[in-house]
Amino acid sequence: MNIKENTRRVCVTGLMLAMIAAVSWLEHTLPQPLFLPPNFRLGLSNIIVMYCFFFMGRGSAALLNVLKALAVLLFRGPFAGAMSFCGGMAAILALLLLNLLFGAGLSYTAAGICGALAHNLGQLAAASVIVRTNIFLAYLPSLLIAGAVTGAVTGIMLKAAIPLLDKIRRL
Amino acid sequence: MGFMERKLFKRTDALLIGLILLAAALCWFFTRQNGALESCRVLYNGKAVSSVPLGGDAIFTVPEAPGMVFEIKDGKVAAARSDCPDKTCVHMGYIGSSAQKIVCLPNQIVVEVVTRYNDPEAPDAVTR
Repeated sequence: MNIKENTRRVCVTGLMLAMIAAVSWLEHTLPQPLFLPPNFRLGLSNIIVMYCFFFMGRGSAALLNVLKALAVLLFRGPFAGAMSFCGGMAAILALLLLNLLFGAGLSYTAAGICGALAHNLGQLAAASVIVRTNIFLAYLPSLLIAGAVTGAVTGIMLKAAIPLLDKIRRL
Repeated sequence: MGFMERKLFKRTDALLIGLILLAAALCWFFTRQNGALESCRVLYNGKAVSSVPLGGDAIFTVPEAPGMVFEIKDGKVAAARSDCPDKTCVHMGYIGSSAQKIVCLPNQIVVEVVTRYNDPEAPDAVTR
């Protein structure tokens, strides 16, 4: 790849990251959705991460999650950053595994759901380690349901957002 | 680069959702409370540092987490105040079942409510 292509790629990734930050911020200003347990969020910024996973290479999605976790670390502190990092990495691992197993047969809804579930499980594992207590069973039911719901929503919205994000990717 | 055509929803996705619901139902079944709630336990780093009966109303703190204030009211416990940046623990509100826990990561605190059967501090059996 020549320098121009590399630069273009860096810029597009930067734009994606900016969009992730904007969507995350917007989501935070919305009131807590009532059908979710306290402090669970819709995770709309993961639409962009998943898009990058499918259309810009799997490494770019991993990079975006790491950068997102760094931003959370900067703005909300080490504990929130650790949670974001563990959730993000778990989600990427889940997507990688699903991609390996199913390839093109992986639907957007399944990717969204499994990514969200892995994200939640990763965060739960991190929290368990930090407080050195087994809090798994207490949070598992709400985590499973919330993950399935938010994951399905994210997956569906991803399908709808593809034309929009394609325009950014092809800038 | 994934320029493959993907579907939005497949029949197997319904199976996935079904499995998740089943798992959630199983979890709910195994975390059901078996008895009346007796006391509230505060864990710091996994070690029980305080055990307070749920009988009356009370406000208490724990020396291991100086920034947190816990409140017991109507047989439920909540983190009334906390010095953590996110206040996730405070937003959790009151917990009234043994399946719920209040967790504060920066303070490394877990608050749970236990029945007599789940409390290791209580006697194993009492004869009359």
